[in-house]
Amino acid sequence: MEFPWQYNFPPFFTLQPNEDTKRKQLDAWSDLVLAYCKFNRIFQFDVNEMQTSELFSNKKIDRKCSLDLICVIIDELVGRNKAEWQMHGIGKNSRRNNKCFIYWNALDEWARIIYDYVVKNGLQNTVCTIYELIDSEEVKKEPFYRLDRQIFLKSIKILENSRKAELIHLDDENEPGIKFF
Amino acid sequence: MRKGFGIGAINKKALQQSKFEQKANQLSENEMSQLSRQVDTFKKNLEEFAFKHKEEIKRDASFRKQFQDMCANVGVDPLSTSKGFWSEMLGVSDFYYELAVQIIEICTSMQERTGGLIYLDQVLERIKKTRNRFVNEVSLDDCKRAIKKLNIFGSAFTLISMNNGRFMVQSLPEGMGIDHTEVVQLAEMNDGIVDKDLIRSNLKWESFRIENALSLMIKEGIVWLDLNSNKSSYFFPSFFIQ
Repeated sequence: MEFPWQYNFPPFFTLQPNEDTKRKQLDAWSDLVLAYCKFNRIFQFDVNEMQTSELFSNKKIDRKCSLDLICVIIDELVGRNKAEWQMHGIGKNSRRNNKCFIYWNALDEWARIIYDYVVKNGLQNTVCTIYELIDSEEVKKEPFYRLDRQIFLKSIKILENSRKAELIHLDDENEPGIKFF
Repeated sequence: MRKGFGIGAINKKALQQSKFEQKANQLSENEMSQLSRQVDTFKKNLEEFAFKHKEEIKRDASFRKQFQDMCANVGVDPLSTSKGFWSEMLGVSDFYYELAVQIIEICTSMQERTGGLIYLDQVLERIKKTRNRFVNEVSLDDCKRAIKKLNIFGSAFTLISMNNGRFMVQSLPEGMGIDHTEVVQLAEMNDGIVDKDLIRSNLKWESFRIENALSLMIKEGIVWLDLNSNKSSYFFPSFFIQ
């Protein structure tokens, strides 16, 4: 994939003190992270691990993002509904961990894309398995082919909320099925 | 003639005096009208020349420069009035006004990236790309003239002369002064990067002066800060445009 010019511009890897410049910087980082993850089909990552990747570390100019900067970028994406921090613990004790989901398609976009496919192929009122929907040969050319399972289920949740789908738990051993309406 | 004495002679002298003056006036009037006739003829010739070569003036950049220089030599500025004879006759002014507008457009559209500082030749390159090159050939000289015409906007658009003979167009808000220009010129010789030590050793400035210059440039988005192994450097994106 092609990196933008900023990627080879050393200050791009330092959070800018000027608000306007910072805005331009975070805009460019947001676009880059989404494009990079989309190109490499990365759905979630650990920021510590990702710090040393090509995305956040440019060996050619000897610059890499600090963890702080990466977190600022992820927060920016979260604000745009394009990322989500993963939490551990439950309720009040839940805390952000170092992992995040990246939604180059926002969750409601994934939901719409999946539902459009269902309607186009007349799959309403039948129970589909997750495997059929995202891993099988039939969907090889669809954008959601090999979609991260957690992201897939989050998208289905959105469809459930608008009564367009329902998760059906068959038994404890198998993955749930989905019925679309 | 006998030397004149008495009242009669004085009167005669006075009469002579006034005759002389009359003659002198008449002579200078002649000279004036002759001169203004010459100027008229010259102007007429220049106009005829300009009109005859109107298309070439508009089309051919080097011809246009020669014409401009010739006009400058005789103290005529075809661009000085927007609705004067010259602009109507030649459309030359239109040419520069259109060019000025294009320069503003390019500088503004690039500002997002450059922070308001760009090489003049890069502006020209972009102008050439957007123009049909068979219509009007544009030169660096034209761009410089057009930018000088932009002075009516105050110092919003200025040219900075670089050491290597190139020029940069600076389209910036107020507050940028000679100090900033010097920092830009210094950066130009250093791959578009400066740091405080470099400024101190080259320009011999006190710390507060360096701070002032850099902080304004940060504030205006002309430079980006780079922190690497605890050293602050200031990068001009303008110099990183391919």
